[in-house]
Amino acid sequence: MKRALGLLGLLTLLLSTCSFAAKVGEAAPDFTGTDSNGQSRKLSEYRGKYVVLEWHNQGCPYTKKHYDSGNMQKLQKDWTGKGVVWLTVISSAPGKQGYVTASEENDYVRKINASPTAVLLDPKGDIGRLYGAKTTPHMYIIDPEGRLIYNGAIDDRPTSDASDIPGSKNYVSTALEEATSGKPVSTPATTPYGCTVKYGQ
Amino acid sequence: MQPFSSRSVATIAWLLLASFPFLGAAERVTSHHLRLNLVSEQSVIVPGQEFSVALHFALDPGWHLYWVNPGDSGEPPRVEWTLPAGFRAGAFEWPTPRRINDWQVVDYGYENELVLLTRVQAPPGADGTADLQANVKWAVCRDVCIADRAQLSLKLPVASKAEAAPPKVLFERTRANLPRVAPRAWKASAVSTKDSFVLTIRGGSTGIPPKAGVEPNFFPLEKQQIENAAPQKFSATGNTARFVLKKSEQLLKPVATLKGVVSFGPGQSFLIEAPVSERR
Repeated sequence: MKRALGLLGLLTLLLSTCSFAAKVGEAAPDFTGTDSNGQSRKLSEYRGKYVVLEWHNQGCPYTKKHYDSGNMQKLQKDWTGKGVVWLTVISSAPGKQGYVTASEENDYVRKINASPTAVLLDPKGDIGRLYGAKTTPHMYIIDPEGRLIYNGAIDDRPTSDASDIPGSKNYVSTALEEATSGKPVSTPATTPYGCTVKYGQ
Repeated sequence: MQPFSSRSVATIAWLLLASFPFLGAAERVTSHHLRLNLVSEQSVIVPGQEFSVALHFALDPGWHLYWVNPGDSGEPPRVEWTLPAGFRAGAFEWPTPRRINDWQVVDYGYENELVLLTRVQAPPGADGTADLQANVKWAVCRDVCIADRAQLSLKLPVASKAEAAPPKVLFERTRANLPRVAPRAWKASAVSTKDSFVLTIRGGSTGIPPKAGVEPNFFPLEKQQIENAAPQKFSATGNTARFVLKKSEQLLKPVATLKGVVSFGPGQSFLIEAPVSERR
């Protein structure tokens, strides 16, 4: 009986980790992470604000597309300027592409002139797996009530070519513009594109 | 000691091509983890006729390229043609891909090699030598991805009679693995349940091909319909094949048609369009 219960527990755990992915319209799963300045950050501490989650890997050509062009920095500047919280999340495991130490990340953020609210270092991939983050970039938006209102790609041009940015439709800006003006988000879920998130085992 | 540098190999290849002009001026580039070659099925162009060219990617072990729907990550190769006046190039004819797994992520792509065929129509007034130029972009990935591009060119003389070029076997081998239009007798339909699409193919008088060693798969042409990484439950009873496909978590609107390639094994891939009905 005890064994059966143990098995059941394991099964429940497996099921809950498999059906993880954050669903649009539902409460965004809460998490606590450590940022690149050693500070603890909890999603629910931002209740009352819009929060953007950006999965990141500085070596990935699709991430580079948006940073080398300045596109991501501009989004960060524009939206944090309007009171939106921007959390960049790095779920690369040690030894994998995109893994950085806190000081390496701080140097990088300075060098490329990025302005996220914070960069969460998630080398165990806990936050990534909790959200089902598949690619870099993979973008999520959480509303002031803590509900997920967007899950997907940064824009509608799934390439690594920066020349595709000017003609693209940015899903993150569109969703934030709509939500902040009281409208429903017209495109709340898209297929993210980019490199796979470099999770560990 | 390295017997040949890649540069000396390229030089030898160039010398060979230069001394055997009938091979055509197929340009070959070596780039990160692959070699890319632009070749023609015909060594001459006949005015007013259609011919096929191929972009042939030869990949290093472990590296892969992507199908037209790349699945959960990556992007398909694309090309911009610069052709002489009056020439027209069609779209790539995509070979059947395979599932490439990473952590809870499944991509649709190709390992070892990828041959992308394109049909080119020559105008009736073609003459002299035609220079076909391809500006190719791709992402090649293993545990990391590299975005890359190359400019290739192929010069072909115009002649009155077609002449097969030596790489003809490459074209034949590639065509054998292109998805075919499903036989007329087949009836494909899908039922939408809460979490899945149940895709059913009834073989009619033509029958369903038997399983050939590999597990049959459905490859969706549209993104955002099925969860790529979910296992596909296949079953066959008599003349009917069935796939249970988990719905995409990004799926918010009802799907009218499931369009894609069903593959029962090598050389047994078919394009299908299955109207979707809600379970009553």
